Amino acid sequence: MRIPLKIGDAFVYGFAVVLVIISFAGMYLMGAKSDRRHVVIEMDKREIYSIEIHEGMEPVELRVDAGDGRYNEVVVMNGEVRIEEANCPDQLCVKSGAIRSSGQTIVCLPHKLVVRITGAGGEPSDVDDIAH
Amino acid sequence: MLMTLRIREIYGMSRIRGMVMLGLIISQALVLHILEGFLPVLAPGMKLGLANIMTLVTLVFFGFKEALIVVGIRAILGSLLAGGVTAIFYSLAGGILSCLVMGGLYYKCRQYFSIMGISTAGAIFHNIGQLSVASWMFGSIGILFSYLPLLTVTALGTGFFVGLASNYIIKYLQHRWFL
Repeated sequence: MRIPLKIGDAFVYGFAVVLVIISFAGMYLMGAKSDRRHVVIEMDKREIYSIEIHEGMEPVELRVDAGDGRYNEVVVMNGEVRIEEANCPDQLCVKSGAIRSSGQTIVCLPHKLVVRITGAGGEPSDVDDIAH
Repeated sequence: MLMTLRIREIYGMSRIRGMVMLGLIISQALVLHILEGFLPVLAPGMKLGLANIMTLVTLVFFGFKEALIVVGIRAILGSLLAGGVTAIFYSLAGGILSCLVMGGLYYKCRQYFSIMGISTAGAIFHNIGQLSVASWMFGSIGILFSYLPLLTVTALGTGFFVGLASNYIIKYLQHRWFL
């Protein structure tokens, strides 16, 4: 079986490698702003909750209501955050597992929910994040 | 119009026959799109992209405009049947962007790219289109960056095998067009 590849295919693969490097660089630049990490929960582009996380913190359980009985249960625990339970049809947010470093996100598309971890870079620390 | 087709010139096919074939191709793409939804995914957004086989076949045998039509109708109907209303936007953005890229590569620099390469490029740009729309809808560019590496690596594999499958189908159909 001969697979007829051509010279241009190398550019496609090269482009893929560049793309991976760019997105890692983008992730690093977004995450490297600060050591302090926040969990930000957004519903339909609006920030509805923000909490600073660190190792060894008390577990926090949040039930995010998306209306019409739709919910996601977010658990923030020991410096990481995960969606414990949700009644969305695809369950992708639950299967995403736990995230712990800046720039990572958990997305629940059916409920328009984004849970992400941000570095607090540049923001004054004594301001309540919800006020932003 | 719709049926100023390459295939007509090549195979002496009537306008009606070409239209019927395009309809058959769309329905096959739709079936592949929906069947694919039953397969388990390892990570969100990760999928084979089997419907892309039909896009490539259309691109080769019919033309760029027809491929766009196939992608558009497949994305809208497929999302309505198996996804949801929001899935239309992701599907459409990814499909159209990948179709533009594949059409450009196939019609502008075909001598340098194999079907596998074109399909892989299409798979990569499908992800870019989809993730860009998702980032825009959620207002966070982080979605694009955090999903792109994994999905790009996956696209290399799936794009190659979808291209390989398309390559065989195209080779076969060139000898006996019977769709």
